[in-house]
Amino acid sequence: MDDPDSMGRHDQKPAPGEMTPAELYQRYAPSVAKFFANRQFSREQVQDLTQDTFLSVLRGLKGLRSRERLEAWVFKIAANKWRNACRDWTTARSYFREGVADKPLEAEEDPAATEDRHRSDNPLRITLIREEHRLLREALAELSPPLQNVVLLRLDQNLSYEEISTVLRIPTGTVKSRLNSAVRQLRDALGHAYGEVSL
Amino acid sequence: VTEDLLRNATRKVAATARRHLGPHPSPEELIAYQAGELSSVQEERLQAHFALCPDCTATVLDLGAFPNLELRVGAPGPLKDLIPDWQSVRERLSEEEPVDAMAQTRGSLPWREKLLVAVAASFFLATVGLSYRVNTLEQRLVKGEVARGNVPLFTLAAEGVDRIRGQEQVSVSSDRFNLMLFVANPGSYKDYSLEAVSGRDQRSVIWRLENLVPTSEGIFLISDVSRRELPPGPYLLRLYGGAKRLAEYQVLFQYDKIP
Repeated sequence: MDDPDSMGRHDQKPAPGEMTPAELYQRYAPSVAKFFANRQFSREQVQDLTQDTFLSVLRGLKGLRSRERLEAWVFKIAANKWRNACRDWTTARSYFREGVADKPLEAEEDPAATEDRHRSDNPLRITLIREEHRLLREALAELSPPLQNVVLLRLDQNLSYEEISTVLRIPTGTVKSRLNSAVRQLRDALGHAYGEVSL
Repeated sequence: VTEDLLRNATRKVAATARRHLGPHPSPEELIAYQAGELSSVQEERLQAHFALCPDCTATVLDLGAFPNLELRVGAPGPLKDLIPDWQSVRERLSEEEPVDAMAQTRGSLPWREKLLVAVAASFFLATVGLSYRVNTLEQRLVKGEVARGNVPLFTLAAEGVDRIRGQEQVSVSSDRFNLMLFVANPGSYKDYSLEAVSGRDQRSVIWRLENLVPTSEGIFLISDVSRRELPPGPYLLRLYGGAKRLAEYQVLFQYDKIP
């Protein structure tokens, strides 16, 4: 028997009518389980949600015809289960409310202190850093929405160029050129203080 | 300006803007976005949301990669522990279908629910028909119409391709016996074959049977198997349609003394 970890790595994509429920389950259950596991659910919750998803998938299978829609349809059902679980389950709700990316922000309320913690207690230097930080935030706020989006995805969410390209549905080259434009505008706004930072 | 300072400033801007973040897009909207089916105005709204919402960004990335997702760092694992047993999904499905059908027969029903009732009824009729057919085949086998009479018959069920329900124990007290193999989807192949692989090393092919023909219900009848061909012990029976492996059956043959 195949290793369950390798299940779902098939190149062929048969149409729904060509797959038995068991085959459909074998093909997509690992991906659906990974989808839930990536959302920080516990092992038991992942199992429950995966099972619920496939009950809905198999119940509605008769109404599905085309090959192209199958994966999107399975994903839609999984995503809806996830959204419902976020509403229903305390653990998921707390994860959703707290937000992974929000946690470090609380610790970075005083950027000057973070920046200079290990350097000196020089009040003048701290004041300068705070001023730099304020100017940076103002310059970032002045960027156009398309440039702001790529900067936020790159610096706040730590995405690669390819990931940003997928999320914004634009070519990787466009991602890079937008980041370069953002750097140019920030340099114009801050002058020599900006230095040589690239994105 | 250092990279850290720039990153901190960006996060501060994001944190402030996130306080005014609107509702999350629905899964349907995300799928439509990924398929390029939204207007430019809707796309811009969603992109502004993604820039501030790591949850929705991760969902869009998963959607783009689906079904070839990778487990992210911090996710529970291993994967095989996360996937519920297919058997339990199937049981739950079969338990719920008759209940739904009964509930839906009361009063006037919308067309979708009527369709569900019709599908459930079809399943029921197909099951009854198949049971009758299997019973008839068993009787014919016992009578010797299909194979030699007075030979025990054992049925083995597989749960689709490469899924084994569990080790079946076949205890034989006669010199010969018959096997009835069920397969989830026999498909349509020119040649079907069965091979028995040693369950100990799962490599050595002990026995092979060619030119099998499924019944119209997709059942394979292997008649007149001699216990000398398959010495006692664990086996993996592999059913092939052409070169494609259709099903596996884990079997333990135990032979009693012939009376």
